[in-house]
Amino acid sequence: MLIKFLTLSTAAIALLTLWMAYTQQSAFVLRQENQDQHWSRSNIRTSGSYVGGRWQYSSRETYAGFRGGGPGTGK
Amino acid sequence: MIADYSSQPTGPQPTGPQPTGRFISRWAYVSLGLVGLMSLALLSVPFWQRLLLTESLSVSEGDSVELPTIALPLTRWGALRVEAMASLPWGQSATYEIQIRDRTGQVIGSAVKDAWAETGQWAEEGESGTWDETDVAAGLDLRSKQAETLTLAIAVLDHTNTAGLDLNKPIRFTVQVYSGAIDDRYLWAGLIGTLCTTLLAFGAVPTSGRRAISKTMRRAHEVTERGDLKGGDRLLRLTVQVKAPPHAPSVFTLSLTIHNADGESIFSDRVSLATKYSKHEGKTTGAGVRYTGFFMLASPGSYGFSAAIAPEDPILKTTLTVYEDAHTLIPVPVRSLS
Repeated sequence: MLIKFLTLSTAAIALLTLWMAYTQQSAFVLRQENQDQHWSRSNIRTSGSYVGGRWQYSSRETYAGFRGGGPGTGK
Repeated sequence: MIADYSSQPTGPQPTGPQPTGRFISRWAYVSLGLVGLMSLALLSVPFWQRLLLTESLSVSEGDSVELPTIALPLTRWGALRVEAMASLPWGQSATYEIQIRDRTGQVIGSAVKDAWAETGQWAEEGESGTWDETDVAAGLDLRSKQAETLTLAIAVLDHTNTAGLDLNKPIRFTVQVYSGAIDDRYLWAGLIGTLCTTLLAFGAVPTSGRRAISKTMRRAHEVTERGDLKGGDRLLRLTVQVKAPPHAPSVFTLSLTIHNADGESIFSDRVSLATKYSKHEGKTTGAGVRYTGFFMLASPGSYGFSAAIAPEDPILKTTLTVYEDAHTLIPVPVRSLS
């Protein structure tokens, strides 16, 4: 009974991860507002979001390295 | 025909039953097969992937450079993978963006990467050397709910040295775009997960079944117990475990008897068991013997089991357990009793 349960768990894990991997549930979906399933690769982050079907940049000032468009602008 | 009279064995030979695989746990092996399936799924990932383009480009701060237009068809499997790599000299950092533009040039998605490449010296306990570390690669997997014609672009938002000074030199990028990219991170998670549950399933097989008898006697060399068993096409696993002090002899003899409901002996055997000594930091701390036997009973009823161990002097405790409906991992010899 325990072995059966463990095997069914194995099957559930296998099916779920195969489906997630092969259908690319973690990819960024173009023109879709809900990106909850997006799992970014190599420390990249999306710099905007869809508002009413259009891509809206998040504020540029929130970038860590951003210094306001070059020396001397004084932002 | 000349008869060969040399070295003929005399007396009855102890011939046990042939091992049978009919009680092997199929479930445990199905689980193992699923681990194999996950391994195959991981190995097949590169075969789905097709390189669509490789581009080298230079981008300056505040600028963006477009790549050739690519078609993103509507597919159920895989995604479009963009892999960008910035060639940053040591001591520089850059924030760059991967932009996705549609056929009208409208940005329909973007993602940024804070890239850096640093090097320095370390000194510790009289030793010293240099270290270097980089984080310059960016990856983005794209999927679409409709067929799209896309143009990717790389934009450099910020480029400075470690002192924080802006650099107005272009950065070289290598960008590769693949179709049919599979997210192997889920497959690795799946492989580890299925491996864990499979190990647990294999670990559960030696204690599988319904416990019919479990009796422990302290400072006794003999355990006798009776239990109700269903018999029939079920495997019975009988184990005898003996614990002894460290000075125990190297061999014990186990006398095993099984009686039916009428008290008649239906099985009787004597086996020699080699003692296993447990050691801790080079010192023998204990000793024990273990016996496992497999049986099948023809009919349901009450059966009596008796295990006696000799020599009886140094025994700390004796445990007799009987499981019915047991399973095995490998073929085992099974005695049919009637």
